[in-house]
Amino acid sequence: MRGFLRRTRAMAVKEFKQSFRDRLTLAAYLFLPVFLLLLFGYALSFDVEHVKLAVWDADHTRASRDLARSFTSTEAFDRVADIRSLSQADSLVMEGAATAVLCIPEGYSRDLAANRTAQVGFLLDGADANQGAQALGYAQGLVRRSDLDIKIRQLDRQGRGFQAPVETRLEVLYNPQLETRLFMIPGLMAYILTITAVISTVIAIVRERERGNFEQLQVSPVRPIEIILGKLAPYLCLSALVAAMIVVGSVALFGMPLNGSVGALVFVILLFLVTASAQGMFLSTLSDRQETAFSFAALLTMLPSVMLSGFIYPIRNMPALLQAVTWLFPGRYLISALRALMLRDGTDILTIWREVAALSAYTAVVMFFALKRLGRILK
Amino acid sequence: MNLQVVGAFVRKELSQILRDPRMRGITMFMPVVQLLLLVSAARLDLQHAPVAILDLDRTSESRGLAQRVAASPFFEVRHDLSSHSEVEPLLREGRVVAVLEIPGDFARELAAGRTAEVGVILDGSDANTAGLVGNYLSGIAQDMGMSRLMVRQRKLLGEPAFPGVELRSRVWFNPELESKWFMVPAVLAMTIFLTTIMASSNAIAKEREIGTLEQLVVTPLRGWELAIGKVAPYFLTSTFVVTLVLVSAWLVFGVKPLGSLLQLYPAVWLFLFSSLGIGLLISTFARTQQQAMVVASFFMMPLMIYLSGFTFPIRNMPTWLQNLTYLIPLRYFLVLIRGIYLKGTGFMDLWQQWAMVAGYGIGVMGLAIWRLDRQLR
Repeated sequence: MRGFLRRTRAMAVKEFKQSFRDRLTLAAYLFLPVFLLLLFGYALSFDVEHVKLAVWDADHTRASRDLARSFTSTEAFDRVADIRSLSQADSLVMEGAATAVLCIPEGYSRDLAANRTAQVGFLLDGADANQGAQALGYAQGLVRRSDLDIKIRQLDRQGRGFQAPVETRLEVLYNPQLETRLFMIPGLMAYILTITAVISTVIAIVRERERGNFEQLQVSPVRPIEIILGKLAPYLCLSALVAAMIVVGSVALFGMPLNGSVGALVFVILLFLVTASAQGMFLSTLSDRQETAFSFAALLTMLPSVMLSGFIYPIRNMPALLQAVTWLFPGRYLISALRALMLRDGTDILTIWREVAALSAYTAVVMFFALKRLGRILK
Repeated sequence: MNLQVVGAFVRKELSQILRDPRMRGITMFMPVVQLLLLVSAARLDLQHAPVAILDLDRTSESRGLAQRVAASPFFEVRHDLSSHSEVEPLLREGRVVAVLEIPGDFARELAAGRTAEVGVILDGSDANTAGLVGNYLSGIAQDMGMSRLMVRQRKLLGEPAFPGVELRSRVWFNPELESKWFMVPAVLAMTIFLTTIMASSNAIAKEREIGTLEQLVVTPLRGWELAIGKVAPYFLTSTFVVTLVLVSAWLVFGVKPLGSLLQLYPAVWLFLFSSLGIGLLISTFARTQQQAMVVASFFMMPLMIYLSGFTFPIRNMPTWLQNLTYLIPLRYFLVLIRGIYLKGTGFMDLWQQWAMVAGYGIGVMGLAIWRLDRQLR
């Protein structure tokens, strides 16, 4: 046991010196979390804002102007053009100068005055399906509101001391301002840690394989498991540092609350680092060429940890088959655990036992196969 | 230019890429796998959001409201609660995104013509979903109240009709607002970009690390001939990949480009100058493969993925960042390929994007070749 510790430490010390001598690489590892944290904290948002709206008001009455104003007084729509024909709408949308067109037909206020239901048109560029669906939902909400207002005014005119029959009182827990960035920071953490931990592990191991250094290490008294642990140590420390940077940065800069148990938070992050290293070890057994192994690692981490982890797109919206595939990308467990632990009050390790169990099982399986294959390679 | 030498070099590079069956799999088939996985993943709208209902009234009115929620395609009622103490644990564990609370006096208030107040308790940790859920649940509750009121007013007053306004929407290019239309060209662009930038950033760094760059220096190859040899194979593989992706998108998802293939392929080729050029440029700076790959994946890819408009709309960014996105070639290419694929937009409508993709590609490739040429001398 003492020999094990001594040899592992020697490996780790050598690995520390070797890998952090390369300043460019170190800078790249540290650039990623800082850059992305600032980007997500201050700049990126997928909320529906400033959708370019062209208005075709053929009615020219106060009622029609009111309706148009209800659209443009929100953050969601920016009135970019007033048009007079459908062909104009067509060319604006085709060029991308407008994303939506509101058409208020002639006779709009006449319909209202005659107690009929007036119809207004809404043309939408559906090319961006997500933004489109949200903009459409927004427009429907605005028109429903106008509809309600019009009816209420009519009833009022009948002098019945009218009140809206049902009102809703919204109570938002955990993130009262509904800040998107608080929602995204857990995902960002999983994304950065996946990339850093998996890719650095892959590079560290496969580089030695490609250069044939493992043959030399085999004749040394250091055992395979000690080599692997020693090689992983500096990158695990680096990843832990990155995780700490993200937590501290998001708390200090964006007011990210740490509402749940901090001990559980640290535990689940460390557990995830082990998972990611196991993944990296497994991937590094797939090829002895840096280029190939790296491509595997990058393709399996870059896009899936954005798209299939619940980082941005809710997993419950995916088709059932794809939901099953997301079980293979451990980021999803970390993300839901982090969301619970950082945002929701009164959460502890028991609240997230499912995620912890899933991560542990995943790690055990991947680690088993990784060590088996690595053992064969190193023998 | 010695065609024979360059030709031989291109052949050698191509066979080197295709020799390794794993590399062959990655360059050729990974994009298709990515396409199949990612295309149906990207939906932000509300579908089957799990909610719970806390009905403290237990009258036919309150059940009517609960039924309206259950009948909505946006929600799935998972739990029927009977006390306040059950609310918090459900939300905390993330098992529901919202709880609709119907107060005990709901039916009484409605009957008395007063305003009944319905509570919606939201899990704000998913801000986007919470916003949508709040809007839709409020809408359902108000609709219910309104329709009851209409019925009663009609009985009382015999008023035949009420004024109102309704929205008739029509969606262009993607009538069902399905994300697959939007995602196929985006994932196509993304995977081509990722695979080519990775491969080319490695190209020279690998020779340098193994020590074969010195050998290349003594061959009659010039810098730009070396560059051609390194990048030309990827024009072939990418053309193959694009074809494979287009065909599988058609077979699996039933979507195919609205615009002409005679525009789509040239657009891809032009864009390859940018992605391969950036990769080569990284390669001329990196001393080892590790450096090249880390710089490509940690500096370039996040910049490109997040600032290109792939997942986050550019118009939502602050102005300074919007200006920064002009430096991202993928930005122009995404507009271009989405225009061609989804709308069949003609060449003239997108000439600025064409010009930018071409100009960027020539510029960055030229810079990379110039540096290579100096290094080989």
